Amino acid sequence: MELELCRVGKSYGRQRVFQDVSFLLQAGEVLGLVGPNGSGKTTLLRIIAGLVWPDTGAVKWLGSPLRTRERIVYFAGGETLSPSLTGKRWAALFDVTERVALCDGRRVSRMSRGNRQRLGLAVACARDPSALLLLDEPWEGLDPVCGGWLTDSLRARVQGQRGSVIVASHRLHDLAMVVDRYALFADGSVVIWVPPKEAAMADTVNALRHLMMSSRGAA
Amino acid sequence: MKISVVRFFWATTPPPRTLVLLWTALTGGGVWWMLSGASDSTGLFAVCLYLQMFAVSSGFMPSARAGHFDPLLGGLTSRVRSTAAHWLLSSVPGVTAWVILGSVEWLISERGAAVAFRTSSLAAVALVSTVAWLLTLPFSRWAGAVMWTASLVTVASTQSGGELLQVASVVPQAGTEPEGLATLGTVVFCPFLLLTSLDQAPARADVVALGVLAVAATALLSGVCLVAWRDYPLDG
Repeated sequence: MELELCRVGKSYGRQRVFQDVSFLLQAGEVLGLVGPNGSGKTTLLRIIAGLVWPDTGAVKWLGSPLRTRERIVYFAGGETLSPSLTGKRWAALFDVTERVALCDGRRVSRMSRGNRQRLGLAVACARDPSALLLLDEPWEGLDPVCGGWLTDSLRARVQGQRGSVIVASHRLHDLAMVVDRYALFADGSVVIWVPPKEAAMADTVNALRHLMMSSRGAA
Repeated sequence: MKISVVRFFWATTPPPRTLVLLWTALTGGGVWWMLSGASDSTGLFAVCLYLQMFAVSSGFMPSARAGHFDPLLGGLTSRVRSTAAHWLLSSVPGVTAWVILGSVEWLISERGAAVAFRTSSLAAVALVSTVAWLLTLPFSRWAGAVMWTASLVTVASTQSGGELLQVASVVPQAGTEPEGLATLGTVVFCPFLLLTSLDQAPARADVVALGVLAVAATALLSGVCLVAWRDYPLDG
Protein backbone atom coordinates (compact mmCIF):
# COMPACT_ATOMS: atom_id res chain seq x y z
CA MET A 1 0.00 0.00 0.00
CA GLU A 2 1.30 3.41 -0.88
CA LEU A 3 0.04 6.97 -0.89
CA GLU A 4 2.00 9.58 -2.81
CA LEU A 5 1.40 13.32 -2.74
CA CYS A 6 3.30 15.27 -5.36
CA ARG A 7 3.40 19.09 -5.06
CA VAL A 8 -0.19 19.35 -3.91
CA GLY A 9 -1.52 22.89 -3.43
CA LYS A 10 -4.88 24.33 -2.46
CA SER A 11 -6.42 27.79 -2.19
CA TYR A 12 -9.91 28.97 -1.31
CA GLY A 13 -10.45 32.02 -3.46
CA ARG A 14 -7.46 34.29 -2.91
CA GLN A 15 -6.52 32.62 0.36
CA ARG A 16 -3.74 30.10 -0.13
CA VAL A 17 -4.00 27.20 2.29
CA PHE A 18 -0.76 25.42 1.36
CA GLN A 19 1.38 24.67 -1.64
CA ASP A 20 3.87 22.07 -2.86
CA VAL A 21 3.04 19.40 -0.30
CA SER A 22 4.87 16.20 -1.19
CA PHE A 23 5.35 12.97 0.73
CA LEU A 24 5.13 9.23 0.41
CA LEU A 25 3.31 7.02 2.91
CA GLN A 26 4.12 3.32 3.04
CA ALA A 27 2.04 0.51 4.50
CA GLY A 28 2.50 0.22 8.25
CA GLU A 29 3.32 3.90 8.75
CA VAL A 30 1.60 6.52 10.89
CA LEU A 31 1.94 10.12 9.76
CA GLY A 32 0.96 12.91 12.15
CA LEU A 33 -0.26 16.27 10.87
CA VAL A 34 0.49 19.12 13.26
CA GLY A 35 0.18 22.86 12.95
CA PRO A 36 -1.82 25.85 14.10
CA ASN A 37 -5.57 26.19 13.59
CA GLY A 38 -6.42 26.98 9.99
CA SER A 39 -3.08 25.80 8.63
CA GLY A 40 -4.66 23.22 6.29
CA LYS A 41 -4.53 19.88 8.13
CA THR A 42 -8.22 19.15 7.63
CA THR A 43 -8.06 20.35 4.02
CA LEU A 44 -5.19 17.97 3.30
CA LEU A 45 -7.08 15.05 4.84
CA ARG A 46 -10.15 15.92 2.77
CA ILE A 47 -8.04 16.09 -0.39
CA ILE A 48 -6.71 12.59 0.29
CA ALA A 49 -10.25 11.41 1.09
CA GLY A 50 -11.45 12.77 -2.27
CA LEU A 51 -13.80 15.38 -0.80
CA VAL A 52 -11.79 18.41 -1.91
CA TRP A 53 -9.98 18.74 -5.24
CA PRO A 54 -6.39 20.02 -5.13
CA ASP A 55 -5.67 23.07 -7.32
CA THR A 56 -2.20 21.85 -8.21
CA GLY A 57 -0.24 18.62 -7.95
CA ALA A 58 -1.38 15.03 -7.83
CA VAL A 59 -2.40 12.44 -5.30
CA LYS A 60 -1.57 8.85 -6.17
CA TRP A 61 -3.02 5.91 -4.34
CA LEU A 62 -1.71 2.39 -4.97
CA GLY A 63 0.29 3.72 -7.88
CA SER A 64 -2.46 5.43 -9.87
CA PRO A 65 -4.26 8.79 -9.69
CA LEU A 66 -7.18 8.75 -7.28
CA ARG A 67 -10.54 8.24 -8.91
CA THR A 68 -12.42 6.30 -6.33
CA ARG A 69 -11.36 6.13 -2.72
CA GLU A 70 -11.50 2.37 -2.32
CA ARG A 71 -9.66 1.28 0.82
CA ILE A 72 -9.49 4.75 2.30
CA VAL A 73 -11.47 5.33 5.51
CA TYR A 74 -11.93 8.91 6.71
CA PHE A 75 -13.48 10.11 9.95
CA ALA A 76 -13.59 13.83 10.72
CA GLY A 77 -15.15 13.71 14.18
CA GLY A 78 -18.41 12.92 15.94
CA GLU A 79 -20.01 16.14 14.71
CA THR A 80 -19.93 14.76 11.16
CA LEU A 81 -22.31 11.93 12.04
CA SER A 82 -25.87 12.70 10.96
CA PRO A 83 -28.08 13.42 14.00
CA SER A 84 -30.78 11.14 12.54
CA LEU A 85 -28.51 8.09 12.69
CA THR A 86 -28.57 5.45 15.37
CA GLY A 87 -25.40 3.64 16.39
CA LYS A 88 -26.87 0.39 15.17
CA ARG A 89 -27.69 1.73 11.72
CA TRP A 90 -24.28 3.39 11.33
CA ALA A 91 -22.43 0.17 12.19
CA ALA A 92 -24.77 -1.91 10.03
CA LEU A 93 -23.98 0.24 6.98
CA PHE A 94 -20.41 -1.01 7.14
CA ASP A 95 -21.22 -4.51 8.41
CA VAL A 96 -19.32 -4.03 11.65
CA THR A 97 -22.21 -4.34 14.11
CA GLU A 98 -20.57 -7.15 16.10
CA ARG A 99 -17.31 -5.27 16.62
CA VAL A 100 -18.65 -1.91 17.77
CA ALA A 101 -19.85 -0.76 21.19
CA LEU A 102 -22.65 1.84 21.44
CA CYS A 103 -24.32 -0.13 18.73
CA ASP A 104 -27.84 0.40 19.99
CA GLY A 105 -30.99 2.19 18.87
CA ARG A 106 -30.06 5.55 20.43
CA ARG A 107 -29.95 8.44 18.01
CA VAL A 108 -26.67 10.30 17.53
CA SER A 109 -28.49 13.54 18.43
CA ARG A 110 -29.06 12.10 21.94
CA MET A 111 -25.48 10.96 22.48
CA SER A 112 -22.84 12.95 24.35
CA ARG A 113 -19.99 14.47 22.35
CA GLY A 114 -17.61 11.80 23.61
CA ASN A 115 -19.94 8.95 22.72
CA ARG A 116 -20.45 10.28 19.19
CA GLN A 117 -16.71 10.37 18.82
CA ARG A 118 -16.37 6.83 20.22
CA LEU A 119 -19.03 5.51 17.86
CA GLY A 120 -17.48 7.12 14.79
CA LEU A 121 -13.97 5.96 15.71
CA ALA A 122 -15.06 2.43 16.53
CA VAL A 123 -16.79 2.07 13.16
CA ALA A 124 -13.88 3.68 11.28
CA CYS A 125 -11.32 1.41 12.97
CA ALA A 126 -13.44 -1.71 12.42
CA ARG A 127 -13.91 -1.08 8.70
CA ASP A 128 -11.29 -2.72 6.47
CA PRO A 129 -8.25 -3.11 8.82
CA SER A 130 -5.86 -2.93 5.88
CA ALA A 131 -7.21 0.41 4.57
CA LEU A 132 -5.56 3.80 4.88
CA LEU A 133 -7.20 5.43 7.90
CA LEU A 134 -7.53 9.22 7.97
CA LEU A 135 -8.47 10.73 11.33
CA ASP A 136 -9.06 14.37 12.24
CA GLU A 137 -8.64 15.25 15.93
CA PRO A 138 -9.56 11.72 17.04
CA TRP A 139 -8.72 12.15 20.76
CA GLU A 140 -11.05 15.14 21.17
CA GLY A 141 -13.82 14.45 23.68
CA LEU A 142 -12.53 11.01 24.69
CA ASP A 143 -11.93 10.07 28.30
CA PRO A 144 -8.48 8.63 29.20
CA VAL A 145 -9.66 5.01 28.90
CA CYS A 146 -11.13 5.53 25.44
CA GLY A 147 -8.11 7.60 24.44
CA GLY A 148 -5.91 4.64 25.43
CA TRP A 149 -8.10 2.28 23.45
CA LEU A 150 -7.69 4.50 20.39
CA THR A 151 -3.91 4.65 20.76
CA ASP A 152 -3.75 0.84 21.09
CA SER A 153 -6.05 0.40 18.08
CA LEU A 154 -3.87 2.60 15.89
CA ARG A 155 -0.72 0.76 16.96
CA ALA A 156 -2.35 -2.60 16.28
CA ARG A 157 -3.51 -1.40 12.89
CA VAL A 158 -0.04 -0.70 11.57
CA GLN A 159 1.61 -3.78 13.08
CA GLY A 160 2.73 -6.21 10.41
CA GLN A 161 2.41 -3.40 7.83
CA ARG A 162 -1.26 -4.10 7.21
CA GLY A 163 -2.84 -0.67 7.32
CA SER A 164 -1.50 2.86 7.57
CA VAL A 165 -2.77 5.96 9.29
CA ILE A 166 -2.69 9.72 8.85
CA VAL A 167 -3.83 11.56 11.92
CA ALA A 168 -4.24 15.31 12.50
CA SER A 169 -4.21 16.46 16.10
CA HIS A 170 -3.10 19.16 18.52
CA ARG A 171 -2.58 16.53 21.25
CA LEU A 172 1.17 16.11 20.91
CA HIS A 173 1.50 13.55 23.74
CA ASP A 174 -1.11 11.27 22.18
CA LEU A 175 0.46 11.69 18.76
CA ALA A 176 3.92 10.88 20.06
CA MET A 177 2.72 7.46 21.19
CA VAL A 178 1.78 6.32 17.68
CA VAL A 179 3.35 8.54 15.03
CA ASP A 180 6.42 7.59 12.96
CA ARG A 181 6.77 10.86 11.03
CA TYR A 182 5.25 14.33 11.27
CA ALA A 183 4.08 16.82 8.67
CA LEU A 184 4.41 20.30 10.17
CA PHE A 185 2.09 22.89 8.69
CA ALA A 186 3.10 26.54 8.86
CA ASP A 187 2.71 29.58 6.66
CA GLY A 188 1.32 27.71 3.67
CA SER A 189 4.02 25.09 3.48
CA VAL A 190 4.58 21.67 4.99
CA VAL A 191 7.80 20.23 6.36
CA ILE A 192 8.27 16.52 7.07
CA TRP A 193 10.04 15.79 10.35
CA VAL A 194 11.16 12.39 11.59
CA PRO A 195 11.86 12.15 15.34
CA PRO A 196 15.07 10.36 16.35
CA LYS A 197 14.51 6.60 16.76
CA GLU A 198 15.46 6.38 20.42
CA ALA A 199 14.02 9.72 21.52
CA ALA A 200 11.90 9.69 24.68
CA MET A 201 8.30 10.75 24.24
CA ALA A 202 8.82 13.94 26.25
CA ASP A 203 11.79 14.89 24.06
CA THR A 204 9.76 14.32 20.90
CA VAL A 205 6.93 16.51 22.22
CA ASN A 206 9.35 19.25 23.24
CA ALA A 207 11.08 19.13 19.89
CA LEU A 208 7.72 19.36 18.13
CA ARG A 209 6.69 22.33 20.26
CA HIS A 210 9.96 24.03 19.50
CA LEU A 211 9.60 23.42 15.76
CA MET A 212 6.05 24.75 15.78
CA MET A 213 7.01 27.85 17.75
CA SER A 214 9.95 28.62 15.52
CA SER A 215 7.94 28.15 12.33
CA ARG A 216 5.27 30.45 13.77
CA GLY A 217 7.95 32.97 14.65
CA ALA A 218 9.31 32.78 11.14
CA ALA A 219 5.81 33.35 9.76
CA MET B 1 -15.72 -2.00 0.95
CA LYS B 2 -18.75 -0.93 -1.08
CA ILE B 3 -21.51 0.87 0.79
CA SER B 4 -25.13 0.62 -0.31
CA VAL B 5 -25.84 4.21 -1.32
CA VAL B 6 -29.60 3.86 -0.90
CA ARG B 7 -29.22 2.35 2.59
CA PHE B 8 -26.78 5.12 3.46
CA PHE B 9 -29.17 7.95 2.56
CA TRP B 10 -32.07 6.12 4.17
CA ALA B 11 -30.07 5.94 7.44
CA THR B 12 -28.57 9.45 7.41
CA THR B 13 -31.43 11.50 5.95
CA PRO B 14 -34.64 9.52 6.27
CA PRO B 15 -37.85 11.15 4.97
CA PRO B 16 -39.67 13.04 7.74
CA ARG B 17 -42.49 11.12 9.44
CA THR B 18 -44.94 13.88 8.55
CA LEU B 19 -44.24 13.33 4.89
CA VAL B 20 -44.66 9.57 5.14
CA LEU B 21 -47.98 10.09 6.95
CA LEU B 22 -49.16 12.59 4.35
CA TRP B 23 -48.31 10.24 1.47
CA THR B 24 -50.09 7.36 3.18
CA ALA B 25 -53.15 9.49 3.90
CA LEU B 26 -53.24 10.93 0.39
CA THR B 27 -52.90 7.52 -1.26
CA GLY B 28 -55.44 5.81 1.00
CA GLY B 29 -57.87 8.71 0.90
CA GLY B 30 -57.45 9.09 -2.86
CA VAL B 31 -58.18 5.43 -3.55
CA TRP B 32 -61.27 5.58 -1.31
CA TRP B 33 -62.42 8.82 -2.96
CA MET B 34 -62.10 7.42 -6.49
CA LEU B 35 -63.79 4.14 -5.57
CA SER B 36 -66.66 6.07 -4.03
CA GLY B 37 -67.51 7.45 -7.45
CA ALA B 38 -65.62 10.72 -7.92
CA SER B 39 -66.05 11.95 -11.48
CA ASP B 40 -62.90 14.02 -11.96
CA SER B 41 -59.63 13.11 -10.27
CA THR B 42 -57.59 16.03 -11.65
CA GLY B 43 -57.67 17.82 -8.28
CA LEU B 44 -56.38 14.73 -6.51
CA PHE B 45 -53.38 14.48 -8.85
CA ALA B 46 -52.72 18.21 -8.48
CA VAL B 47 -52.46 17.70 -4.71
CA CYS B 48 -50.21 14.70 -5.33
CA LEU B 49 -47.98 16.82 -7.58
CA TYR B 50 -47.80 19.57 -4.96
CA LEU B 51 -46.83 17.11 -2.23
CA GLN B 52 -44.19 15.65 -4.53
CA MET B 53 -42.73 19.16 -4.86
CA PHE B 54 -42.09 19.13 -1.10
CA ALA B 55 -41.02 15.47 -0.95
CA VAL B 56 -38.22 15.89 -3.49
CA SER B 57 -37.06 19.14 -1.86
CA SER B 58 -34.79 17.09 0.34
CA GLY B 59 -31.64 19.27 0.33
CA PHE B 60 -28.05 18.14 0.00
CA MET B 61 -25.24 20.67 0.46
CA PRO B 62 -25.79 21.62 4.13
CA SER B 63 -25.58 17.95 5.13
CA ALA B 64 -22.66 17.32 2.77
CA ARG B 65 -20.73 20.31 4.14
CA ALA B 66 -21.42 19.12 7.68
CA GLY B 67 -19.64 15.87 6.78
CA HIS B 68 -22.74 13.64 6.97
CA PHE B 69 -22.08 12.17 3.52
CA ASP B 70 -18.28 11.90 3.78
CA PRO B 71 -18.12 8.11 3.29
CA LEU B 72 -20.01 8.47 -0.01
CA LEU B 73 -18.53 11.53 -1.68
CA GLY B 74 -14.88 10.53 -2.15
CA GLY B 75 -14.13 10.41 -5.87
CA LEU B 76 -16.05 11.53 -8.94
CA THR B 77 -17.58 8.15 -9.80
CA SER B 78 -19.10 7.68 -6.40
CA ARG B 79 -20.45 11.24 -6.40
CA VAL B 80 -22.41 10.67 -9.62
CA ARG B 81 -23.78 7.41 -8.23
CA SER B 82 -24.62 9.00 -4.90
CA THR B 83 -26.39 11.98 -6.47
CA ALA B 84 -28.50 9.73 -8.68
CA ALA B 85 -29.43 7.64 -5.65
CA HIS B 86 -30.28 10.76 -3.64
CA TRP B 87 -32.67 11.93 -6.35
CA LEU B 88 -34.17 8.47 -6.73
CA LEU B 89 -34.77 8.09 -3.01
CA SER B 90 -36.35 11.56 -2.82
CA SER B 91 -38.67 10.84 -5.76
CA VAL B 92 -39.71 7.24 -5.23
CA PRO B 93 -42.37 7.67 -2.50
CA GLY B 94 -44.27 10.25 -4.57
CA VAL B 95 -43.95 8.30 -7.79
CA THR B 96 -45.20 5.18 -6.02
CA ALA B 97 -48.26 7.04 -4.73
CA TRP B 98 -48.86 8.42 -8.23
CA VAL B 99 -48.67 4.95 -9.79
CA ILE B 100 -51.04 3.47 -7.20
CA LEU B 101 -53.59 6.25 -7.60
CA GLY B 102 -53.18 6.24 -11.38
CA SER B 103 -53.72 2.48 -11.58
CA VAL B 104 -56.94 2.76 -9.60
CA GLU B 105 -58.08 5.65 -11.80
CA TRP B 106 -57.23 3.70 -14.95
CA LEU B 107 -59.18 0.66 -13.75
CA ILE B 108 -62.38 2.50 -12.82
CA SER B 109 -62.58 5.24 -15.43
CA GLU B 110 -63.04 5.30 -19.15
CA ARG B 111 -59.55 4.89 -20.58
CA GLY B 112 -59.51 8.24 -22.40
CA ALA B 113 -60.53 10.19 -19.32
CA ALA B 114 -57.73 8.93 -17.06
CA VAL B 115 -55.46 11.79 -15.98
CA ALA B 116 -52.48 10.11 -14.31
CA PHE B 117 -50.87 8.30 -17.23
CA ARG B 118 -51.25 10.94 -19.96
CA THR B 119 -47.90 11.96 -21.42
CA SER B 120 -48.39 15.51 -20.19
CA SER B 121 -49.21 14.35 -16.64
CA LEU B 122 -46.17 12.08 -16.50
CA ALA B 123 -44.07 14.96 -17.81
CA ALA B 124 -45.43 17.09 -14.95
CA VAL B 125 -44.32 14.49 -12.39
CA ALA B 126 -40.87 14.25 -13.98
CA LEU B 127 -40.53 18.03 -14.04
CA VAL B 128 -41.55 18.58 -10.42
CA SER B 129 -39.42 15.63 -9.25
CA THR B 130 -36.27 17.02 -10.85
CA VAL B 131 -36.62 20.81 -10.72
CA ALA B 132 -37.70 21.03 -7.04
CA TRP B 133 -34.89 18.60 -6.15
CA LEU B 134 -32.35 20.72 -8.11
CA LEU B 135 -33.56 23.98 -6.54
CA THR B 136 -33.15 22.52 -3.05
CA LEU B 137 -29.67 20.96 -3.54
CA PRO B 138 -27.79 23.99 -2.18
CA PHE B 139 -30.23 24.48 0.71
CA SER B 140 -31.97 22.64 3.53
CA ARG B 141 -35.12 20.52 3.20
CA TRP B 142 -38.26 22.14 1.73
CA ALA B 143 -36.41 25.20 0.35
CA GLY B 144 -37.12 24.49 -3.33
CA ALA B 145 -40.82 23.83 -2.77
CA VAL B 146 -41.18 26.96 -0.65
CA MET B 147 -39.41 29.10 -3.29
CA TRP B 148 -41.49 27.60 -6.10
CA THR B 149 -44.75 28.08 -4.18
CA ALA B 150 -43.84 31.66 -3.29
CA SER B 151 -43.05 32.43 -6.95
CA LEU B 152 -46.34 30.90 -8.13
CA VAL B 153 -48.37 32.79 -5.54
CA THR B 154 -46.57 36.05 -6.33
CA VAL B 155 -47.10 35.76 -10.08
CA ALA B 156 -50.68 34.52 -9.83
CA SER B 157 -51.65 37.24 -7.37
CA THR B 158 -50.65 40.07 -9.69
CA GLN B 159 -53.25 40.89 -12.34
CA SER B 160 -50.82 40.77 -15.25
CA GLY B 161 -49.23 37.54 -13.94
CA GLY B 162 -52.60 35.83 -13.59
CA GLU B 163 -53.62 36.87 -17.10
CA LEU B 164 -50.27 35.72 -18.45
CA LEU B 165 -50.74 32.26 -16.92
CA GLN B 166 -54.23 32.01 -18.43
CA VAL B 167 -53.28 33.21 -21.88
CA ALA B 168 -50.00 31.33 -22.21
CA SER B 169 -51.52 28.05 -21.05
CA VAL B 170 -53.74 27.87 -24.13
CA VAL B 171 -52.19 25.39 -26.52
CA PRO B 172 -51.08 27.16 -29.68
CA GLN B 173 -51.81 25.86 -33.14
CA ALA B 174 -49.18 24.27 -35.36
CA GLY B 175 -46.53 26.54 -36.82
CA THR B 176 -46.49 29.14 -34.07
CA GLU B 177 -43.13 28.49 -32.42
CA PRO B 178 -42.94 31.65 -30.27
CA GLU B 179 -46.29 30.83 -28.69
CA GLY B 180 -45.14 27.22 -28.30
CA LEU B 181 -42.10 28.39 -26.34
CA ALA B 182 -44.32 30.64 -24.21
CA THR B 183 -46.53 27.64 -23.43
CA LEU B 184 -43.48 25.58 -22.53
CA GLY B 185 -42.19 28.33 -20.26
CA THR B 186 -45.56 28.67 -18.59
CA VAL B 187 -46.07 24.96 -17.89
CA VAL B 188 -42.49 24.64 -16.62
CA PHE B 189 -43.23 27.49 -14.21
CA CYS B 190 -46.68 26.14 -13.33
CA PRO B 191 -46.68 22.36 -14.04
CA PHE B 192 -50.21 21.97 -12.65
CA LEU B 193 -51.39 23.34 -16.01
CA LEU B 194 -50.13 20.13 -17.60
CA LEU B 195 -52.89 18.24 -15.80
CA THR B 196 -55.70 20.42 -17.13
CA SER B 197 -55.11 22.81 -19.97
CA LEU B 198 -53.75 20.61 -22.72
CA ASP B 199 -56.87 18.47 -23.18
CA GLN B 200 -58.08 20.10 -26.37
CA ALA B 201 -55.04 19.50 -28.58
CA PRO B 202 -53.50 16.12 -27.71
CA ALA B 203 -50.96 16.10 -30.55
CA ARG B 204 -49.66 19.53 -29.63
CA ALA B 205 -49.77 18.60 -25.95
CA ASP B 206 -47.37 15.73 -26.62
CA VAL B 207 -44.89 18.15 -28.19
CA VAL B 208 -45.11 20.40 -25.13
CA ALA B 209 -44.73 17.33 -22.87
CA LEU B 210 -41.57 16.33 -24.73
CA GLY B 211 -40.18 19.81 -24.14
CA VAL B 212 -41.04 19.49 -20.46
CA LEU B 213 -39.30 16.10 -20.30
CA ALA B 214 -36.20 17.66 -21.86
CA VAL B 215 -36.25 20.36 -19.17
CA ALA B 216 -36.60 17.65 -16.49
CA ALA B 217 -33.64 15.69 -17.92
CA THR B 218 -31.55 18.87 -18.01
CA ALA B 219 -32.44 19.60 -14.38
CA LEU B 220 -31.39 16.11 -13.30
CA LEU B 221 -28.11 16.36 -15.20
CA SER B 222 -27.44 19.82 -13.76
CA GLY B 223 -28.02 18.46 -10.27
CA VAL B 224 -25.56 15.64 -10.80
CA CYS B 225 -22.94 18.08 -12.15
CA LEU B 226 -23.57 20.52 -9.28
CA VAL B 227 -22.86 17.82 -6.71
CA ALA B 228 -20.05 16.05 -8.57
CA TRP B 229 -17.78 18.95 -9.50
CA ARG B 230 -17.36 20.82 -6.27
CA ASP B 231 -15.34 20.81 -3.08
CA TYR B 232 -16.71 19.67 0.25
CA PRO B 233 -14.72 21.47 2.94
CA LEU B 234 -16.17 21.18 6.43
CA ASP B 235 -18.36 24.03 7.60
CA GLY B 236 -17.36 25.79 10.77
